[in-house]
Amino acid sequence: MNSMASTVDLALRNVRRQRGRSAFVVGAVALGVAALILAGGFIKDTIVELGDSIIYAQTGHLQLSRSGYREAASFDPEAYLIEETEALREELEDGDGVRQVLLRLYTAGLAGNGDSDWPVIIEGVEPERESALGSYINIAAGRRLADDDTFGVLLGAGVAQALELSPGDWMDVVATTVDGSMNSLEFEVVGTFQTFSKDYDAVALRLPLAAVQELLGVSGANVAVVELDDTGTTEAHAEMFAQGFAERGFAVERWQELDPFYYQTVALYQQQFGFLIAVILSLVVLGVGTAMGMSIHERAAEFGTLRALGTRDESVTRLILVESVVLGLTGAVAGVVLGNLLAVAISAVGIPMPPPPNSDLGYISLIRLSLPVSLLAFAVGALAPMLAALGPARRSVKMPIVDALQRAV
Amino acid sequence: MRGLTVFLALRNLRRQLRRSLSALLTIAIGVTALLLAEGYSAGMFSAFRESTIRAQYGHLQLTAPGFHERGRSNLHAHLMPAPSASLQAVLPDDAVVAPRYLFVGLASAGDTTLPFSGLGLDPAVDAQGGSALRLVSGERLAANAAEGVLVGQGLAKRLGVQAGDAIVLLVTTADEQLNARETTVTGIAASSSAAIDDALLVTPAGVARELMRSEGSHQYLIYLSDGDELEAVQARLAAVAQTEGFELRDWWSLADFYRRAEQLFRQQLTVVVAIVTAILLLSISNTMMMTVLERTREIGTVMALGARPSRVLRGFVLEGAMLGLLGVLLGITLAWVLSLGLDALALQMPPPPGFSVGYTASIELGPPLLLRVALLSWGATVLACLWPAWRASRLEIVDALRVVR
Repeated sequence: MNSMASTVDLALRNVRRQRGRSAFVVGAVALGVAALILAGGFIKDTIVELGDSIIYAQTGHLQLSRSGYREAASFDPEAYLIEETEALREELEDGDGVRQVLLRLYTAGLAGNGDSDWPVIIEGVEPERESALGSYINIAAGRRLADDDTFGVLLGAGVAQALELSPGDWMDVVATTVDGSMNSLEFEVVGTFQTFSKDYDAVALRLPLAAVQELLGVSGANVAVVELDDTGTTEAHAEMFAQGFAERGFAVERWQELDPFYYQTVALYQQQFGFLIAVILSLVVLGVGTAMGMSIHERAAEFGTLRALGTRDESVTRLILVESVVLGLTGAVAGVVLGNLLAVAISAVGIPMPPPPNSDLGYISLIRLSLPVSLLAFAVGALAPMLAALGPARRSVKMPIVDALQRAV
Repeated sequence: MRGLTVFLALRNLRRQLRRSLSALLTIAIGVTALLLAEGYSAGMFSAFRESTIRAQYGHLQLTAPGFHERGRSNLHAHLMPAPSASLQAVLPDDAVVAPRYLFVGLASAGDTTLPFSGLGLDPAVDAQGGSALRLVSGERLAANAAEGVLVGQGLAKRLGVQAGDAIVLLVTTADEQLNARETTVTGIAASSSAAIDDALLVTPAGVARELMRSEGSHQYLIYLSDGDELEAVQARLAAVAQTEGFELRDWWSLADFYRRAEQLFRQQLTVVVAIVTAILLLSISNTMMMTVLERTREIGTVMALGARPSRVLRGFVLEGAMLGLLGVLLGITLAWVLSLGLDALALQMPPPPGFSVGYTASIELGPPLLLRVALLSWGATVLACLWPAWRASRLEIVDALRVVR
């Protein structure tokens, strides 16, 4: 038998013999790994939920517009109009994993209730398609726009409040046409909506696309919004579209770039949760370290005996380290199983969360299973006992054999 | 008898110094970790609140009754004269009252005319949107400015104006007359929201009043130098404000959106902190359990010498209680030192969503937090001792004496 194999064999026997001590180390590792999996899975869910609330309230997954449209911050609809909308839609919807393509036409204008005016951003939309996308839009009063609402308007909650309008009321919308003159149309309020952004709700107003085209005297749209089947394919689709459409004068933007708060919010989450993960990590390392250190320290007499019988220091060190790896692996496997089982159990019950700022309905948070998180937690758990064993192992082979043998247990 | 048990427990702790130390360390670091985690969140929430108050709401607001609900749809009808001297006398000496005058109209430069949403304020006392408003180019309004206008980034781009350019503001006055005046763009500013920047315009209140041909203001924001005084000031102010016809609101009741966002974020943090707490409690019990189980033979000996099981139990629980107390004290000290260290570092954090300016990280260790964490950790330590101590006291003496280690 070669020496490594016999060391492993010995280590396994030791682990079994020292049942109590082994159980503590394995327990500490398993708890730590499970805690990391739970925390990681919850954080992932929080960030996914944030993404969904952006995608399905406002931006869709990707948006195509004429190059330069965003940078110019211009509401000059003529310069950045997409004319061949139906051909573009067909071409985009042809791709794999594309659920639907929505057209939007934006312009700035004034909304009025007869007494006072309020500056607004007018969005011309395709009502039914928007309803299919906008599962995260909260309708505060009334209903969503429908395709047959030729002169219906859905108001941002802030606009409705500012102008004291409620469903059933009529209002004026004024905008500048392509040739520079002012045009005004009357609309009936069908409902009011709230999104995650109060600033947006205070200026946004949704009209049927055809009505805005009539208001401006143009045809076409500014933006083609792409909804995908799976958020995970956003990047792949973005690259594909960027390649195919860049030379035709289109810019492609991802939802993360379209929401002004996404990166800031994720940075905040990562910073805050990162700190907590660091705390969990240090507790895991500390807990494992304590259990491991105590166990080795208390076996001083045993290691002394080994050395008195002629075992070399390296062999003793190796034995201790292999033992710790065995403990680490056992604990990490147990922890991954425990963590994932707990995650499934907790997700089955759900963690009730208070309503997001845009809504009156709370949501149920889950703990998402994820391979990278489990692997990372596994690695931490598997390695922690070995790292923790390094110091005590060195001390126990540095101790004079006579002292070690005399150590009271 | 009791004194003896305490004495013995102390001696035991000293004798088992190594074990005591590692248990002590586990408890102390656990307490520190929990305090840091919660104190750090508390510090962050304070910073957010402070930014929200400074940037948007003021601590308190005086307005015409019903302004917050209906005011924006009929601005002319919701103007209020400045608070009287007797009302101002109720405020603390260092409180600042900042009037705000709201108006909407059309802004034009060259051939372009666009709607704006204007804010007239007193540049001498108002933070001009403070940390919520970032200066892109040019300058903010000077403290004594009687002219000039800050233009939102989006609006400036679409109007094609830069700092130093002239801009014409066109409004409908209270008596339904058209009125216009020219003024100079002093700077371009950006808030965190493009939607706001597309219509934002900030001027000295004098410019706005002259343009609208009316007096007074819509809102009087009250900034307190000490936010803790809020409730006391509000209570004193309430009666006076009412007799002068004002509606008094605190920022908390106005910042509905902020309140909900904070609630959600708090809940999200609570879930993770709960996981931290669970693993902390479990690792404390793991250590305590190990400490007791490894002394089985010693327990056997003590009982062979005639100690009653109840005395063994009491001894261990006492040891745990003292260990817990020491650990908690050590942990609090450690957390306190670390929080001082962090303050000294003055670590700048990135801006929270909705703000353009970051904040300084700090760890807030309030008495309620200290007490809660201390009780929790101490209780966990004692509880963690109970089970192994109870098992130890039920041991068959012969078996306990023979336990090989």
